[in-house]
This record gives sequence, C-alpha cells and structure tokens, in this order.
Amino acid sequence: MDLFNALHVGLASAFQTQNLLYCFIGVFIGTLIGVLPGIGPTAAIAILMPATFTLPSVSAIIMLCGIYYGAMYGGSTTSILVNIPGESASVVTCIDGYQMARQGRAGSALGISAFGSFIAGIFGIIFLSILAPTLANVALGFGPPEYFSLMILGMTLVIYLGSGSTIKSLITAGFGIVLGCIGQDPISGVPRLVYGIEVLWDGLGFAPVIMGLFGISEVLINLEKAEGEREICQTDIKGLLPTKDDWKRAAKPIARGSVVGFFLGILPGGGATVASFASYALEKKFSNQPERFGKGAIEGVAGPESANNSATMGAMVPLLTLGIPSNVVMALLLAALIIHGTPPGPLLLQNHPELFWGIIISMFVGNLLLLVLNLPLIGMWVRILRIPYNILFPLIVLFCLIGAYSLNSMVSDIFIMLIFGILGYLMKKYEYEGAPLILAFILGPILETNLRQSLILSHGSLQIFVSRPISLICLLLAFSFLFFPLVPAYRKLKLRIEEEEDKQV
Amino acid sequence: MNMNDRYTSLLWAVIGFYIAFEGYRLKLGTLHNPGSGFIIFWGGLVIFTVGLALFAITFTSREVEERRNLWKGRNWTSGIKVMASLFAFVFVLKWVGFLLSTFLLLLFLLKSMGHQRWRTTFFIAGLTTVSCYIIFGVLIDTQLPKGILETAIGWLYR
Repeated sequence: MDLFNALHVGLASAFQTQNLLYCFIGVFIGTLIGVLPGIGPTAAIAILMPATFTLPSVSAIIMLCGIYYGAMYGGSTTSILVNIPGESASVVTCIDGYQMARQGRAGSALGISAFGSFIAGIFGIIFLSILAPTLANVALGFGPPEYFSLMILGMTLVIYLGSGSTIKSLITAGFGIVLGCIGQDPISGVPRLVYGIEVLWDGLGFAPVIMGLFGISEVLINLEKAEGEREICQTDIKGLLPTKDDWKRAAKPIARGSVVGFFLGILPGGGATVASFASYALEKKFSNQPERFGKGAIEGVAGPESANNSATMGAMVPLLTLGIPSNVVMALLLAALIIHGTPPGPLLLQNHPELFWGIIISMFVGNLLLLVLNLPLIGMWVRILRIPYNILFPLIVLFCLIGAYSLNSMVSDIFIMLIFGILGYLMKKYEYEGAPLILAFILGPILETNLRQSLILSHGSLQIFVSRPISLICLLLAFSFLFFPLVPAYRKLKLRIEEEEDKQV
Repeated sequence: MNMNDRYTSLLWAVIGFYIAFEGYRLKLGTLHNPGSGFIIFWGGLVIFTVGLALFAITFTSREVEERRNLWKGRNWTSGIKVMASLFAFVFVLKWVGFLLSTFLLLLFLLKSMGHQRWRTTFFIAGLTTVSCYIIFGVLIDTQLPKGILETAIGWLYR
C-alpha cells in the first residue's frame, strides 16, 4: 500500500465520530492521570482495559494510546507547579520546571512543555509512519526461530536496561514465563499447574494479573506513605504562549529531544523515562552555560518534555511491526490487541491497515487535542491536584474491582487480581520489578509456541537458532547484555534515574 | 542490594526448584518434540539458579547494605485493612449484589481509611455507587450481580 492510500485509510478510520470521541476520552483521561500523583499510565491502562472490550478494536487501542501519551503531557503540570512528578517520565522536569515556577515563569514552563511535546509528538508520528511499514515488510520474512530470538532479546533488554537489579529482573522474568504456562498446553491440551482449580484451565488472564500487579499494588504502596502537604506554587500562571526568547532558547533542545526520544523509545527497556533523562544530560552538555541547569533553565524543560513524548511514538514501532513490546505500557497494549483479536506484528499492516494507520493518524489528532486541553484548562488541572489521595484511592480500587469482574462476570477474576495485588506490593517492597514479569507473562506463551515450532521444524536441532543470521545476531546480543556489561554510559544513566526517583519518594 | 535479598533469594530458589519439579512431572519430551513441562522446567531452573546466585552474592559482595526494616515508619496496616475489605467484598458480592456491597465498601474505605466526615462519606459513597452502576451496568451493559436488594426491588415492582 503506498503512503497516499495508507493515509487515506488512516484518515477514514481516525476521523470516524466514534474514534474521535474515544481519542478525546483517552487523552483527557491520560492528562488527568498524568496530573494526579499516585496513579500512572500503566495502572490507568490496566484498570481501563476491560472497559474497552466491548468497543471495536480500533477505538479501544486509540483510547488506550491516548491515555499513554496524554499522561506525558499531564505529568509535566505537577512537576512544574508542585515539584512532584505526575509520572516517572516527568521526574527530570521537576529539576528546572519547578524553579521556573518559583521565579514567576510557570506560564513559560507550562507553555514550552506543551508546545515542545506537541512538536516532538508530530515528529515521532512522522518517523513512525516511515519506519514502521519498512520494518513490517522486513519482518514478513521472519519465521519461528527469528521470533523466538527477538523475544529473548527484547526480554533481555527490558531486564538489563530497565530500572532495578538485573539479577532480580531475571528471576521475575522467569516467574512470568511460568505464570504464562498456567492452563492448558496449547499443543497437547494437557492442564498445567492448575491443581484441579477449574478457573485456571483457561489460564490466569492478562487483565486481572495486570490490574493487580500495577493497580492494586500501587494503591497499597501509596497508602503506606503519609500524605504530606502539597505545596502548589502560588504564582499567577500567565503568559502560556512562549516568548520569542523562550523559543530561541528552546528550539534546539526540542529538536534534539525529539530525535533522542524517538530512538530511545524504540529500545526495549528504554522508554519515556530514560529518554527524558538522556535529553536532560545532553542539553546540559550542549549548553554554553551549564551552570544555569537546576536553577530554571528552560532548556531543561523543553528537551526532556519533547523527548518523553517522542519516545511514546518510538515505542510503537517494535510493538506494531514485530509484536515486541519495548516497555510495560506497550506490553499492556499488546495484551489489548491480542484480546481484541488483532495481534500486532508484520501481518497487522497487511490484514488490518485501518487499525494500523488509524492509530497513527489518531495520534496527530490526539496531540492537537492535548495542546488545546493542557493550556486553557490549566486552572482545572491545578484544582484537581488538590484532591486528597484518601478520596482518590477508593475510586481507583472500585474501578479495578469492576474492571476485573466485567471480564467474565466471575468473582474468581477479582480474586486473582487481589492475589496479584499482594504479590505486586511485596515485589515493590523488596525491590523486584514488575515490568519483566508482565512482559514475560504476556510474551511467554508466544515464546513457547515459537520455540516448539522451531524445534519441530529442525527435527530437534538447536542449530536452527544459530544458522539463521537474524536469530543468531539477536541471541548474541542477548547473551552479551546478560553476561557482559555493555554500554557503561547507559548503566550510569540508569543509576542516575534510580537516584532521582528515590529523591522523589 | 541489601540483606533482605538474602531471604527473598532463598525463597525464590525454593519456588524455582518446585516449579522445575512440576515441569519434570509434566514430562519434558524430547528436543524433537518438546513436552508440556519443557518450558516450565527450564523456567523453574532459571529461577532456582539465579535465586541461588543472588543468595551467594549477598555473602560475597562488598556492596550489600545492612538489612532494611521495610515496615518501620510505614503505615502498612492500612494495606491489610484495605485488602481484608476487598476480600470481604469478593465473598459477599454475588449474594448481596453490586449496589449494596459497593456502597458498604466505599463507606468503609472513605470513613476508616480516608477519615472523612460521615456526611461526606455517605455523599461520595452514594454518588460513586450510583454513577458506576449507570456507567458500567446501564451504559456499558456489564452484567453486575443483582443480589438480594435488587431482586427484592424487582419483585416489589412486578
């Protein structure tokens, strides 16, 4: 399909009234989630996923994607006004954004953040439109060995490059693969690890596990903390449109942040958080006056905010073209696409072009809506910041309960969600990451099928994984990342992210 | 890395061993035709091996911090109360019905955890319950359990 026809298909899909409505709902909820500390886009998508099951797949994915990139916009508001990041990708915006607010320049900070995110988002979408179909065409030649090796590489990168201890992430990834095996063997039909419990015959189900691990556990962790006074910067928020001087300073950081963010977003384990930190470090390096950073440098807001939004677009590349999620939010979108019967991968573009291009075009619309929502409605978002968590968390819990029950009208799904809520809470307490577990849980059954198909094809010979070039390269890279500390600069960045996130706790 | 990892790694090693054992019982098959237990066995083995490795590292590494008390200074009893109320909700949901069980759950969470005034608690609990019923039960058509209250109301209106 050429680009003109593709755009036509995308426009026809994205501009359906229903899809425009769900795009708006998604970005509105995403901004709200980004503004509210205590709930991030991961938990929000996990909680709202069941509500999308009755929707057409295009509408559902448009809405869930809207929540993701909407949260990037919303997260900057609390970072700038309250010095509390709404979600992890906005941690670095606190450094200079809050200082700008204290100097009476909150409007400039909010404005450049919104415009930078918009420009970066558009850049990311354009690149996604060019890169994704090309990659999808290449991936059409992949067989089970390539997919197996790619998934091993993807999981290894999430383990290695994600936050937290590598060795602990390896444990949780292994556990995730085992959890994915619960239920009937897809090939022989033999029940595995069900222990006579009927509800486990069909497996655990993505939604209850995800909602428990990320939704309920997040509530439990937040309840432990004393609710401190939130000092909202009492400055008049005026001058939301950036001045000429603001643009002069911010133009290059926005451009650099867009590029850096997009390519880091593609990398499994990378994502918006890593992109925002990398952009900040880059801007400080490029600046003629690095001493201004940390004291209200607009470049320290423009670059990271552009990077985190561009990264959300980059993350869509491996998901839509290869079916490999690069972070936990993409893993949730993968689960949603599978549940809707439209598994992502190279065939998605061929079999469901209206879904593929509809999502991409809707992102243009979504970014435009976010620019409109974030600036004029800033007063409303500031009022929402004042809602105490003690009122908020019962609502979050209730949405989780309804969401889990609505799947199959069975209380066993709520029960599973609560068990995984406890597990997720304990994992957070003992510093075991949930992202590798959920990625392995979702990819595990697909990984197993590809492994068994490969071994059947090769009559039991493991050589099939090393005789095919792409498979060999992926396995070598995975092995290198696990056993040799490649890219030390990346490890330093990871440590820096952990330090900054610990400061915010 | 801290001393808590010494205990959690041992726990993971035990879990991994058990999983590998279960995988073995399900039959590994052959490389030509892997059995049902193949991936479970290897997954369990990875957990067991890495768990033991982490356990060993806590003895040999110089960077191991003192054991942190993860519960001191934290209001962890709130979590227990919330989970107990949620499990109670699960048990009564089908019998009592969505409306009443949700209203009671919200009353408990808002009053005992949220420390809101009774008027605020009743108002938010009532409004939220009704709104959720309208959105999920009526508009999205989720089959929410009726329970005794709604059955009685339905019977009265017949």
